[in-house]
Amino acid sequence: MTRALSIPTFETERLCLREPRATDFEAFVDFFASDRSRFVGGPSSDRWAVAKAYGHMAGLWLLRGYGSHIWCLKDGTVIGHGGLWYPQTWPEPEFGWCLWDGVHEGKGYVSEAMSAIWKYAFETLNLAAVVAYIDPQNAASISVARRLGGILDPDAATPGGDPDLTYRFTPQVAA
Amino acid sequence: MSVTFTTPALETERLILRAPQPRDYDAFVDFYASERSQYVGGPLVGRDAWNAFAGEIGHWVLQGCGMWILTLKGDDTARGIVGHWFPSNWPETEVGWVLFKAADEGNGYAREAAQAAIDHAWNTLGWDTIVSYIVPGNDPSVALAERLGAVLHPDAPQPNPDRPILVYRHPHPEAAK
Repeated sequence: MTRALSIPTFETERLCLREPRATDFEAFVDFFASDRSRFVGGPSSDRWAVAKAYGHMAGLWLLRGYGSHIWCLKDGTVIGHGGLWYPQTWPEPEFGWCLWDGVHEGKGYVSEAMSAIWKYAFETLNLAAVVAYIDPQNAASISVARRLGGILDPDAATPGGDPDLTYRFTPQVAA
Repeated sequence: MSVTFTTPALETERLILRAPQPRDYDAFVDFYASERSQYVGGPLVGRDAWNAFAGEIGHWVLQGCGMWILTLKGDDTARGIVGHWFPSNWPETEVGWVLFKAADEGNGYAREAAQAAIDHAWNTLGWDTIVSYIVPGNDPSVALAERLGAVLHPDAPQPNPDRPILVYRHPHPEAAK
Protein backbone atom coordinates (compact mmCIF):
# COMPACT_ATOMS: atom_id res chain seq x y z
CA MET A 1 0.00 0.00 0.00
CA THR A 2 2.99 2.29 0.23
CA ARG A 3 2.94 4.78 -2.63
CA ALA A 4 6.04 6.32 -4.18
CA LEU A 5 6.71 9.57 -5.98
CA SER A 6 10.00 9.98 -7.83
CA ILE A 7 11.54 13.31 -8.75
CA PRO A 8 14.46 13.16 -11.21
CA THR A 9 17.59 15.11 -10.37
CA PHE A 10 20.02 16.52 -12.92
CA GLU A 11 23.70 17.38 -12.73
CA THR A 12 25.01 19.92 -15.21
CA GLU A 13 28.53 21.27 -15.48
CA ARG A 14 28.09 23.73 -12.61
CA LEU A 15 24.65 23.00 -11.18
CA CYS A 16 22.50 20.41 -9.44
CA LEU A 17 18.76 20.49 -10.11
CA ARG A 18 16.99 18.68 -7.30
CA GLU A 19 13.69 18.23 -5.47
CA PRO A 20 12.22 21.08 -3.37
CA ARG A 21 13.05 20.68 0.31
CA ALA A 22 11.59 22.28 3.43
CA THR A 23 15.05 23.63 4.22
CA ASP A 24 14.92 25.82 1.09
CA PHE A 25 11.81 27.60 2.32
CA GLU A 26 13.43 30.61 4.03
CA ALA A 27 15.45 31.41 0.91
CA PHE A 28 12.25 31.13 -1.12
CA VAL A 29 10.57 33.56 1.33
CA ASP A 30 13.44 36.02 0.86
CA PHE A 31 13.16 35.72 -2.92
CA PHE A 32 9.41 36.32 -2.81
CA ALA A 33 9.85 39.35 -0.57
CA SER A 34 12.24 40.88 -3.10
CA ASP A 35 11.47 42.80 -6.23
CA ARG A 36 13.09 39.97 -8.20
CA SER A 37 9.83 38.02 -7.82
CA ARG A 38 7.83 40.69 -9.70
CA PHE A 39 7.53 38.58 -12.84
CA VAL A 40 6.32 35.45 -11.02
CA GLY A 41 3.50 36.75 -8.85
CA GLY A 42 5.47 38.67 -6.21
CA PRO A 43 6.62 40.53 -4.34
CA SER A 44 4.83 39.21 -1.29
CA SER A 45 5.79 39.16 2.37
CA ASP A 46 2.76 37.02 3.27
CA ARG A 47 4.35 33.85 4.69
CA TRP A 48 1.00 32.05 4.47
CA ALA A 49 0.72 32.70 0.77
CA VAL A 50 4.37 31.89 0.14
CA ALA A 51 4.14 28.63 2.12
CA LYS A 52 1.13 27.62 0.02
CA ALA A 53 2.96 28.51 -3.17
CA TYR A 54 5.95 26.41 -2.12
CA GLY A 55 3.79 23.41 -1.20
CA HIS A 56 2.00 23.71 -4.54
CA MET A 57 5.30 23.69 -6.39
CA ALA A 58 6.30 20.46 -4.65
CA GLY A 59 2.91 18.81 -5.15
CA LEU A 60 2.71 19.48 -8.89
CA TRP A 61 5.18 16.63 -9.37
CA LEU A 62 2.48 14.09 -8.55
CA LEU A 63 -0.46 15.86 -10.16
CA ARG A 64 1.26 16.45 -13.50
CA GLY A 65 4.00 13.85 -13.41
CA TYR A 66 6.64 16.57 -13.75
CA GLY A 67 7.43 19.88 -12.12
CA SER A 68 10.05 22.37 -11.06
CA HIS A 69 13.42 21.88 -9.42
CA ILE A 70 15.46 23.79 -6.91
CA TRP A 71 18.75 24.84 -8.48
CA CYS A 72 21.99 24.59 -6.50
CA LEU A 73 25.65 25.23 -7.12
CA LYS A 74 27.92 22.23 -6.59
CA ASP A 75 28.64 23.44 -3.05
CA GLY A 76 24.92 23.23 -2.25
CA THR A 77 24.18 26.96 -2.41
CA VAL A 78 20.60 27.42 -3.62
CA ILE A 79 20.46 29.95 -6.45
CA GLY A 80 16.92 29.62 -7.79
CA HIS A 81 14.24 27.38 -9.14
CA GLY A 82 12.78 26.40 -12.44
CA GLY A 83 11.77 23.69 -14.82
CA LEU A 84 8.34 22.64 -15.94
CA TRP A 85 5.32 24.50 -14.64
CA TYR A 86 1.74 23.54 -15.34
CA PRO A 87 -0.75 24.75 -12.72
CA GLN A 88 -4.46 24.26 -13.25
CA THR A 89 -5.17 27.60 -14.92
CA TRP A 90 -2.33 27.40 -17.47
CA PRO A 91 -3.31 26.75 -21.08
CA GLU A 92 -0.17 24.67 -21.71
CA PRO A 93 2.88 23.37 -19.86
CA GLU A 94 5.51 26.03 -19.39
CA PHE A 95 9.25 26.36 -18.96
CA GLY A 96 9.95 28.68 -16.03
CA TRP A 97 13.12 29.94 -14.38
CA CYS A 98 14.05 32.28 -11.53
CA LEU A 99 17.38 33.26 -10.05
CA TRP A 100 16.67 34.24 -6.46
CA ASP A 101 19.56 36.70 -6.08
CA GLY A 102 21.00 39.13 -8.65
CA VAL A 103 24.56 38.11 -7.81
CA HIS A 104 24.03 34.91 -9.82
CA GLU A 105 22.97 36.70 -13.01
CA GLY A 106 25.15 37.01 -16.09
CA LYS A 107 26.89 33.65 -15.64
CA GLY A 108 24.76 31.53 -17.93
CA TYR A 109 23.27 29.49 -15.11
CA VAL A 110 19.71 29.78 -16.45
CA SER A 111 20.68 28.61 -19.91
CA GLU A 112 22.71 25.76 -18.44
CA ALA A 113 19.85 24.56 -16.25
CA MET A 114 17.16 25.01 -18.88
CA SER A 115 19.15 23.08 -21.46
CA ALA A 116 18.93 20.07 -19.16
CA ILE A 117 15.22 20.69 -18.62
CA TRP A 118 14.70 21.04 -22.38
CA LYS A 119 16.14 17.54 -22.87
CA TYR A 120 13.99 16.19 -20.03
CA ALA A 121 10.83 17.71 -21.52
CA PHE A 122 11.36 16.60 -25.10
CA GLU A 123 13.58 13.52 -24.88
CA THR A 124 12.36 11.89 -21.65
CA LEU A 125 8.78 13.11 -21.22
CA ASN A 126 8.23 13.42 -25.00
CA LEU A 127 6.08 16.52 -24.63
CA ALA A 128 4.84 17.89 -27.95
CA ALA A 129 5.33 21.55 -27.07
CA VAL A 130 6.16 23.77 -24.11
CA VAL A 131 5.75 27.52 -23.84
CA ALA A 132 7.19 30.31 -21.74
CA TYR A 133 4.97 33.23 -20.75
CA ILE A 134 7.19 36.28 -20.34
CA ASP A 135 6.43 39.84 -19.33
CA PRO A 136 7.35 42.13 -22.26
CA GLN A 137 9.55 44.13 -19.84
CA ASN A 138 11.58 41.07 -18.83
CA ALA A 139 14.41 41.43 -21.33
CA ALA A 140 16.68 38.92 -19.57
CA SER A 141 14.12 36.12 -19.80
CA ILE A 142 13.27 36.95 -23.41
CA SER A 143 16.90 36.48 -24.30
CA VAL A 144 17.02 33.13 -22.45
CA ALA A 145 13.89 31.98 -24.30
CA ARG A 146 15.43 32.82 -27.66
CA ARG A 147 18.68 31.03 -26.86
CA LEU A 148 16.66 27.99 -25.83
CA GLY A 149 15.01 27.82 -29.25
CA GLY A 150 11.79 29.61 -28.34
CA ILE A 151 9.76 31.17 -31.14
CA LEU A 152 7.32 33.97 -30.45
CA ASP A 153 3.74 32.75 -30.85
CA PRO A 154 1.49 35.82 -31.08
CA ASP A 155 -1.70 33.72 -31.26
CA ALA A 156 -1.20 31.63 -28.11
CA ALA A 157 -3.59 31.89 -25.18
CA THR A 158 -1.96 33.24 -22.02
CA PRO A 159 -2.88 32.48 -18.40
CA GLY A 160 -5.87 34.62 -17.53
CA GLY A 161 -5.44 36.53 -20.77
CA ASP A 162 -2.37 38.37 -19.40
CA PRO A 163 -0.54 40.49 -21.97
CA ASP A 164 2.54 38.26 -21.74
CA LEU A 165 4.66 37.23 -24.67
CA THR A 166 4.40 33.53 -25.43
CA TYR A 167 7.55 31.78 -26.62
CA ARG A 168 6.93 28.30 -27.97
CA PHE A 169 9.42 25.45 -27.78
CA THR A 170 9.19 22.25 -29.77
CA PRO A 171 11.51 19.26 -30.11
CA GLN A 172 12.07 20.25 -33.74
CA VAL A 173 13.88 23.46 -32.74
CA ALA A 174 16.89 22.41 -30.72
CA ALA A 175 18.04 24.37 -27.70
CA MET B 1 19.25 10.00 -10.86
CA SER B 2 16.06 10.57 -8.98
CA VAL B 3 14.80 11.00 -5.45
CA THR B 4 11.90 8.81 -4.39
CA PHE B 5 9.41 9.71 -1.69
CA THR B 6 7.29 6.98 -0.21
CA THR B 7 4.04 7.45 1.62
CA PRO B 8 3.13 4.62 3.97
CA ALA B 9 -0.46 3.55 4.46
CA LEU B 10 -1.99 3.08 7.90
CA GLU B 11 -4.56 0.41 8.59
CA THR B 12 -7.01 0.59 11.48
CA GLU B 13 -9.90 -1.64 12.42
CA ARG B 14 -12.22 -0.23 9.74
CA LEU B 15 -10.08 2.19 7.74
CA ILE B 16 -7.18 2.51 5.33
CA LEU B 17 -5.32 5.83 5.40
CA ARG B 18 -3.37 6.11 2.16
CA ALA B 19 -1.40 8.59 0.05
CA PRO B 20 -3.36 11.27 -1.83
CA GLN B 21 -3.58 10.48 -5.54
CA PRO B 22 -4.73 12.50 -8.55
CA ARG B 23 -7.96 10.45 -8.61
CA ASP B 24 -8.94 11.96 -5.24
CA TYR B 25 -8.99 15.47 -6.67
CA ASP B 26 -12.74 15.59 -7.45
CA ALA B 27 -13.77 14.56 -3.93
CA PHE B 28 -11.37 17.15 -2.49
CA VAL B 29 -12.70 19.87 -4.79
CA ASP B 30 -16.34 19.03 -4.02
CA PHE B 31 -15.61 19.31 -0.30
CA TYR B 32 -13.76 22.62 -0.68
CA ALA B 33 -16.62 24.04 -2.75
CA SER B 34 -19.01 23.28 0.11
CA GLU B 35 -19.72 25.19 3.29
CA ARG B 36 -18.33 22.24 5.24
CA SER B 37 -14.87 23.56 4.37
CA GLN B 38 -15.40 26.87 6.15
CA TYR B 39 -13.34 25.76 9.16
CA VAL B 40 -10.36 24.51 7.16
CA GLY B 41 -9.57 27.43 4.90
CA GLY B 42 -12.52 27.14 2.52
CA PRO B 43 -14.60 27.50 0.59
CA LEU B 44 -12.05 27.34 -2.23
CA VAL B 45 -12.78 26.99 -5.92
CA GLY B 46 -10.83 26.79 -9.17
CA ARG B 47 -7.11 27.41 -8.95
CA ASP B 48 -7.28 27.94 -5.18
CA ALA B 49 -8.68 24.44 -4.66
CA TRP B 50 -6.11 22.98 -7.07
CA ASN B 51 -3.30 24.73 -5.22
CA ALA B 52 -4.57 23.41 -1.90
CA PHE B 53 -4.67 19.83 -3.22
CA ALA B 54 -1.18 20.18 -4.68
CA GLY B 55 -0.15 21.50 -1.28
CA GLU B 56 -1.44 18.33 0.41
CA ILE B 57 0.84 16.27 -1.83
CA GLY B 58 3.70 18.75 -1.62
CA HIS B 59 3.64 18.46 2.16
CA TRP B 60 4.66 14.81 1.84
CA VAL B 61 7.57 15.84 -0.40
CA LEU B 62 8.73 18.69 1.80
CA GLN B 63 8.15 17.27 5.29
CA GLY B 64 8.19 13.51 4.81
CA CYS B 65 4.76 13.26 6.37
CA GLY B 66 1.35 14.68 5.61
CA MET B 67 -2.34 14.12 5.33
CA TRP B 68 -3.66 10.74 4.22
CA ILE B 69 -6.82 10.09 2.31
CA LEU B 70 -9.33 8.40 4.61
CA THR B 71 -10.97 5.37 3.02
CA LEU B 72 -12.96 2.42 4.30
CA LYS B 73 -11.52 -1.06 4.01
CA GLY B 74 -12.74 -2.54 0.76
CA ASP B 75 -13.89 0.82 -0.63
CA ASP B 76 -11.23 3.17 -1.97
CA THR B 77 -13.59 6.17 -2.11
CA ALA B 78 -11.92 9.27 -0.62
CA ARG B 79 -13.98 10.23 2.44
CA GLY B 80 -11.70 12.71 4.11
CA ILE B 81 -8.17 13.78 4.94
CA VAL B 82 -6.52 12.92 8.22
CA GLY B 83 -2.95 13.09 9.40
CA HIS B 84 0.04 15.30 10.01
CA TRP B 85 0.34 18.94 9.09
CA PHE B 86 3.47 20.99 9.60
CA PRO B 87 3.83 23.47 6.74
CA SER B 88 6.73 25.89 6.81
CA ASN B 89 4.70 28.62 8.50
CA TRP B 90 3.32 26.43 11.35
CA PRO B 91 4.63 26.93 14.90
CA GLU B 92 3.98 23.32 15.96
CA THR B 93 3.31 19.88 14.61
CA GLU B 94 -0.39 19.29 14.11
CA VAL B 95 -2.74 16.36 13.72
CA GLY B 96 -5.84 17.29 11.72
CA TRP B 97 -8.97 15.63 10.41
CA VAL B 98 -11.66 16.34 7.83
CA LEU B 99 -14.64 14.27 6.70
CA PHE B 100 -15.72 15.41 3.25
CA LYS B 101 -19.41 14.58 3.69
CA ALA B 102 -21.86 14.90 6.57
CA ALA B 103 -23.17 11.43 5.72
CA ASP B 104 -19.92 9.93 7.03
CA GLU B 105 -20.20 11.65 10.41
CA GLY B 106 -21.33 9.86 13.53
CA ASN B 107 -19.54 6.59 12.78
CA GLY B 108 -16.36 7.35 14.66
CA TYR B 109 -14.26 7.32 11.48
CA ALA B 110 -12.54 10.64 12.23
CA ARG B 111 -11.73 9.52 15.74
CA GLU B 112 -10.38 6.15 14.61
CA ALA B 113 -8.22 7.82 11.96
CA ALA B 114 -7.02 10.65 14.19
CA GLN B 115 -6.04 8.21 16.93
CA ALA B 116 -3.97 6.25 14.42
CA ALA B 117 -2.32 9.48 13.25
CA ILE B 118 -1.56 10.49 16.83
CA ASP B 119 -0.04 7.09 17.63
CA HIS B 120 2.03 7.28 14.43
CA ALA B 121 3.27 10.77 15.36
CA TRP B 122 4.48 9.68 18.81
CA ASN B 123 5.77 6.23 17.91
CA THR B 124 7.02 6.47 14.33
CA LEU B 125 7.63 10.13 13.55
CA GLY B 126 8.95 10.76 17.05
CA TRP B 127 7.21 14.09 17.45
CA ASP B 128 7.69 15.88 20.76
CA THR B 129 4.36 17.72 20.72
CA ILE B 130 1.02 17.46 18.93
CA VAL B 131 -1.59 20.16 18.67
CA SER B 132 -4.83 20.47 16.74
CA TYR B 133 -5.72 23.94 15.48
CA ILE B 134 -9.50 24.43 15.43
CA VAL B 135 -11.38 27.46 14.16
CA PRO B 136 -13.77 28.79 16.83
CA GLY B 137 -17.28 27.56 16.09
CA ASN B 138 -16.19 24.16 14.77
CA ASP B 139 -17.91 22.37 17.62
CA PRO B 140 -17.73 18.83 16.22
CA SER B 141 -13.93 19.12 15.96
CA VAL B 142 -13.68 20.54 19.47
CA ALA B 143 -15.69 17.58 20.73
CA LEU B 144 -13.44 15.13 18.89
CA ALA B 145 -10.28 16.82 20.19
CA GLU B 146 -11.60 16.45 23.72
CA ARG B 147 -12.60 12.81 23.18
CA LEU B 148 -9.04 12.20 22.01
CA GLY B 149 -7.82 13.61 25.33
CA ALA B 150 -6.57 16.96 24.01
CA VAL B 151 -6.77 20.01 26.24
CA LEU B 152 -7.29 23.63 25.27
CA HIS B 153 -3.98 25.52 25.56
CA PRO B 154 -4.81 29.24 25.53
CA ASP B 155 -1.19 30.43 25.59
CA ALA B 156 0.14 28.24 22.78
CA PRO B 157 1.81 29.91 19.79
CA GLN B 158 -0.67 30.80 17.06
CA PRO B 159 -0.15 29.92 13.38
CA ASN B 160 -1.60 33.29 12.39
CA PRO B 161 -1.71 35.78 15.28
CA ASP B 162 -3.99 38.03 13.23
CA ARG B 163 -6.67 35.34 13.24
CA PRO B 164 -6.57 33.56 16.60
CA ILE B 165 -7.51 29.90 16.57
CA LEU B 166 -8.21 27.34 19.31
CA VAL B 167 -5.13 25.28 20.11
CA TYR B 168 -5.84 21.83 21.56
CA ARG B 169 -2.80 20.03 22.90
CA HIS B 170 -2.61 16.24 22.89
CA PRO B 171 -0.97 14.80 26.00
CA HIS B 172 2.35 13.06 25.43
CA PRO B 173 2.08 9.37 26.26
CA GLU B 174 5.04 9.66 28.64
CA ALA B 175 3.08 12.17 30.70
CA ALA B 176 0.32 9.63 31.33
CA LYS B 177 2.70 7.15 32.97
